Amino acid sequence: MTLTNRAKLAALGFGLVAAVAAPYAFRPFTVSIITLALIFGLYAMSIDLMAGYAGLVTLGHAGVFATGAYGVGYVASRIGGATGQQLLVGMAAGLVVTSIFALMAMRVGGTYFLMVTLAQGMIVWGFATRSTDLGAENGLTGVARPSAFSAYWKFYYLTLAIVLLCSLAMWVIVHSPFGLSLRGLKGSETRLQMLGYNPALTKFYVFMLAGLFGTVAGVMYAYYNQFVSPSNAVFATSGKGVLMAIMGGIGTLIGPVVGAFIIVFIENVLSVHIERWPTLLGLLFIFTILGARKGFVGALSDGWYRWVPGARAERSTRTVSPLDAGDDAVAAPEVKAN
Amino acid sequence: MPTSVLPALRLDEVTVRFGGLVAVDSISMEIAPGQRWAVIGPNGAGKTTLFRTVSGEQIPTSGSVALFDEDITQKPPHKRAHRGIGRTYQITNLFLELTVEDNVMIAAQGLSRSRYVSWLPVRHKGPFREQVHWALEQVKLSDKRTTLVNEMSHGEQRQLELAMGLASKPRLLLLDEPAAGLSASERVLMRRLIEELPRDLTLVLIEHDMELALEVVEWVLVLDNGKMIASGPPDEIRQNETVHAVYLKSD
Ligand SMILES: Nc1ncnc2c1ncn2[C@@H]1O[C@H](COP(=O)(O)OP(=O)(O)OP(=O)(O)O)[C@@H](O)[C@H]1O
Ligand SMILES: [Mg+2]
Repeated sequence: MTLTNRAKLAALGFGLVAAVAAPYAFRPFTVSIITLALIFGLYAMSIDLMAGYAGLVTLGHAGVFATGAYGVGYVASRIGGATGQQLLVGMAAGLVVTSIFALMAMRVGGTYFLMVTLAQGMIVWGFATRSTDLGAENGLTGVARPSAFSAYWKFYYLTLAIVLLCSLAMWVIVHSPFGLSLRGLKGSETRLQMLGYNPALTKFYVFMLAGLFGTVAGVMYAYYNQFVSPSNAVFATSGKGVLMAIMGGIGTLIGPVVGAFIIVFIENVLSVHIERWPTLLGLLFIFTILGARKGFVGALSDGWYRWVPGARAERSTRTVSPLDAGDDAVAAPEVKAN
Repeated sequence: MPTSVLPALRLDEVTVRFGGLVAVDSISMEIAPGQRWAVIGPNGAGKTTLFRTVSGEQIPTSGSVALFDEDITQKPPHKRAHRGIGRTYQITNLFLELTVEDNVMIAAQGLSRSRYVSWLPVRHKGPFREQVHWALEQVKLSDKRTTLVNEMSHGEQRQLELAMGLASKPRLLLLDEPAAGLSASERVLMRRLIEELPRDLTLVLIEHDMELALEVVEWVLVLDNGKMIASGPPDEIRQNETVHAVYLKSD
């Protein structure tokens, strides 16, 4: 195994151990913040599936996120349905709204895609603020966590498990033939179409996948807050997800999670100490855009290849066959020969 | 004009208007399977626009396009790809952030159902992998498989353009100025690559450079201002007064 892969595995192992140990090591407040960061990490990953992999930056993903949350909230507080029912309605609502949004957006690209998705988020927000069934401005209270997971640390482990499962699913997706064609869509839509891919269908499909994971995040968020409000759907929530993905490292799966941790901690922890935390967030974002285009994870990986002796020659650029031992065995001598 | 029972491509009075400009003016042609054609003409003659009506990127204002006798005039590009049309671009149009082999893999899997499969890894064995190897061998890029496209030279990118057109094994391949921007020595290589393409492939080549074009094809169509001003075998075109006049005027 290459040095780089070993380092990645080690980091992953360390992360997992740290994640499992967190409730033992930290105060309940901190564990709760980590839970929130994980939920937003999942949300930002789902955005990155579109924005980072397929080049489709959405400005309305909070609409999908909030729909999942409202589905849960509505059943819990208005109907008094059981957890199973809440989940079913939350997921179904998210997916139905996603499919409508996907149909609306699948034929446009570039700036139009930004505008269409922006409008979609606003539609959900507008509906939520006006619908008395959804509690209008006040939102829906009385959402209870499933009884088996009501303790803060149990809910943390539940969230961790779900986020890991979804991450694994997204990892499989981005390494699949479809995942590769998403990167093609980002690179050149005209070329991709000329090669036999239906661009609208490709966009629809990735929109649905992003909607699926975004809905899961929204459902988790409803249980996390035990409260659903129009602020879940506001533009700032959409923008925040994009910000997380960019800051952490767009076009990677771990990046958005890192970005979510950074932003959630600034918002919830540093905000106590630093009055001007939104300014700090803004500065950090500008710094990312100007200084580290590829975000935190991108900068880390550049640094790794640059400064770690032995990693330099390994710079892996392939996505097709990272698992292809046969090919690597053939390719290895070529690399050494240089 | 040599024709077989079933022409690979048939254009029937294809016209494309952009406002007042007639970019392609009532062009008709019929290409037999396995033939190699060139479309030549000065800048702005309408060559690329004519290609786009065949590839589906431009729906003609009037006229019809048929591939192996099937009318495809209104079909979008991806549907035409599935019917066997491949095309390369005058201005390099590649997935710059991906490796050479990822680029060609996207091309190779493009006609199969598995292109939309999201729950299995990209196959690194089997028919697609073979197609990738074959296409890269054809364009002499086998040793660049893991190179990022945006780190390649312009010449290599032009070679990859050709591989992208080939990888899905089209029946009809349209090459839009494959030698655009190449140095003299690179042109020699490109010419060889074109000559070495499979013989059963029907080929249409756009070329600004008359010499390169005439040496690799059997039939030439000359466009000027959207109109066909000559059509015939290379030897005839070389002698053609009108063609000379057009080329002298534009150079
Ligand atoms: N989408 C478009 N809208 C308006 N005019 C266009 C469009 N595409 C091409 N044209 C015009 O049509 C004419 C033919 O263009 P085309 O690109 O087909 O020429 P060409 O023969 O390929 O030239 P070149 O050798 O420069 O590539 C030109 O005058 C061009 O400006
Ligand atoms: Mg042209």
